[in-house]
This record gives sequence, C-alpha cells and structure tokens, in this order.
Amino acid sequence: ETAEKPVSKAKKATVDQRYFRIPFVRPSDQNRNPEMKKKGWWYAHFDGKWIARQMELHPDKKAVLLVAGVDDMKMCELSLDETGLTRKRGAEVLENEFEDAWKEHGGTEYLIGVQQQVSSKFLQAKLGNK
Amino acid sequence: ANKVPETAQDTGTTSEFDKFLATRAKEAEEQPPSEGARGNT
Repeated sequence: ETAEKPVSKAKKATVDQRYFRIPFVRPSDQNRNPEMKKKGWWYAHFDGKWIARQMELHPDKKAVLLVAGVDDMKMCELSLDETGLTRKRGAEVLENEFEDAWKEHGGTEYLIGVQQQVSSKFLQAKLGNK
Repeated sequence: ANKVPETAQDTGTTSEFDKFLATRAKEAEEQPPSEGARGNT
C-alpha cells in the first residue's frame, strides 16, 4: 500500500460566486390557479460549493435574511450540485439582481452586524475582514 | 454587461432540495404577518 497522499488542492484565487432565485411553490399548489402558486421567493448566493447567503421573501411578511456562519440551522445544507439549482432553467440570476434584492431588504446592515461570524471567504473579503 | 450562464438542461431541483424548500415555506407560513424573523433576531 502506498502512502500516497491526496494531492492537496491549491486554493483557487477565485471561487465561483453564483446566485439563484426560485419561487416557493408547494407541491399541493402545483395544480391550482397561478395566484395560488406565488408563495414568495427563495434567493441564494453560493460561494463555490456552499451557500453563503439565503434570503426568503413571502407576501406580507418581513424578509428572512440568513448568513452562513450565523444562521446555519435555517440554511440549505446541500452543496450547490446536490440542490440541482444549476440544472434548473431560469433559476440562476445575475449578481446584481441578487445584490439589489439583498440590499433592498436590509441585507447590507444585517451583514455588517454579523461580519465577525461570517464563514464565507468571499463575504469576509467583501466586508474587509482578514 | 454580465450574462447569466446558460444551463444545459432543465432537470429541476433535487428531491432533497425540494423537501428543504417546502420546510422553509411551511415555517414562513407559521410566522404571523409582518413578524417574520430576520436572521436570528
């Protein structure tokens, strides 16, 4: 048996940042009229393989803003590939679409408030943390 | 201008993810109107 160690992957200088938005639609609502289908929106920012930010918007409710390292219990634990989001047509959105919605619902302030706990390296860099 | 990468085919999200999303939707439904939590607050 060789003592071959797995080649340690050098950290990529940049990790893909991908953004998604999908409607909350329950299976029981699938066949109802279009009005019933709109239950709000689920937003996600993936820093590489794992989720960094999650935002949930529901009609008549405050936005739910979640950040990895702070709100992990309520966040998607699946890797990006495991979610299937990359294969779902229309789910991926532009960075600015996510950021605009995030800012609009108080995300900037929330992120600043929890910046010491943020686990995403991308967000840490964005916040100026070392 | 940025461009959204094209997805190869629409195979939908996985059942595990759909389950997760349904749980989140249910939790939101249980929140009283305008009382939804923001983060841990």
